[in-house]
Amino acid sequence: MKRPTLLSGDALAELHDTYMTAPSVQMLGIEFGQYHDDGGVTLTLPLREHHMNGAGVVHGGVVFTLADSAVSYGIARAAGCRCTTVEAKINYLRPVVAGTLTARGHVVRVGRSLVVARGEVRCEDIQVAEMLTTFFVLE
Amino acid sequence: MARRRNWFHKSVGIEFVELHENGATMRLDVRQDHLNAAGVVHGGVTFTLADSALGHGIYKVLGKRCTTAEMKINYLKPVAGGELVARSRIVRAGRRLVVARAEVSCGGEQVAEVLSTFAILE
Repeated sequence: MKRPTLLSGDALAELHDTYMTAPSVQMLGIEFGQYHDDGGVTLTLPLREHHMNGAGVVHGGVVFTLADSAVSYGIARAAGCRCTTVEAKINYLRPVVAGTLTARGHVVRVGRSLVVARGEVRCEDIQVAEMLTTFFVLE
Repeated sequence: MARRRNWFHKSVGIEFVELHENGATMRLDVRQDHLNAAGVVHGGVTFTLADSALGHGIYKVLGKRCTTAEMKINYLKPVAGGELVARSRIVRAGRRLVVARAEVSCGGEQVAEVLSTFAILE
């Protein structure tokens, strides 16, 4: 794989469209937050009734999906490669009942075939989950 | 906290199949809105199905409310469509923590393996 370069211009605009129009992203209501100088991407999710579980807190699958999306978008932007999640581990730190979730990915290491990255999910500035993932590079 | 229906699990299309002595089976039919930008099922959908089978299985088998404290998933194969089935199994039930695993399969082939830690709430 070529040396990691930060995507910009048309390539970044195309990547943005690919990620933000994905059916899973739209189904959940995930919105774009911001790009960071280190290559990371922040995605946000205004919480609604259908994100809750039977206990009235946000379903863990919602937090996971948001984090996975932010991390993989960040990898595609920072490493310029398409990849797929092969392993992901998430620790839930606090329950969430309402507000807006924000998730940000950080690339830890880009190898030839694997990328290790982490993700942080916050709700109104309080960290609610920590994620560690391994991605497989597709191209 | 007031209890209510499980909205998220409902909106993803997850259905209960059966209860076992050590866990539960849940399923979903893959829909267009479950797909990611690559046209395969988003990992979050597979994860959500497994989490539901684990949480529901632990609640029904042990009769105690619990919450996911940690969960790790390995994706073994991509899924393009069809029916996803998750079967959970309790590995060890302690007083405060439960360790459980789940297998997610599609068309008889395993597509993900999950290992989780749940915290008992009561």
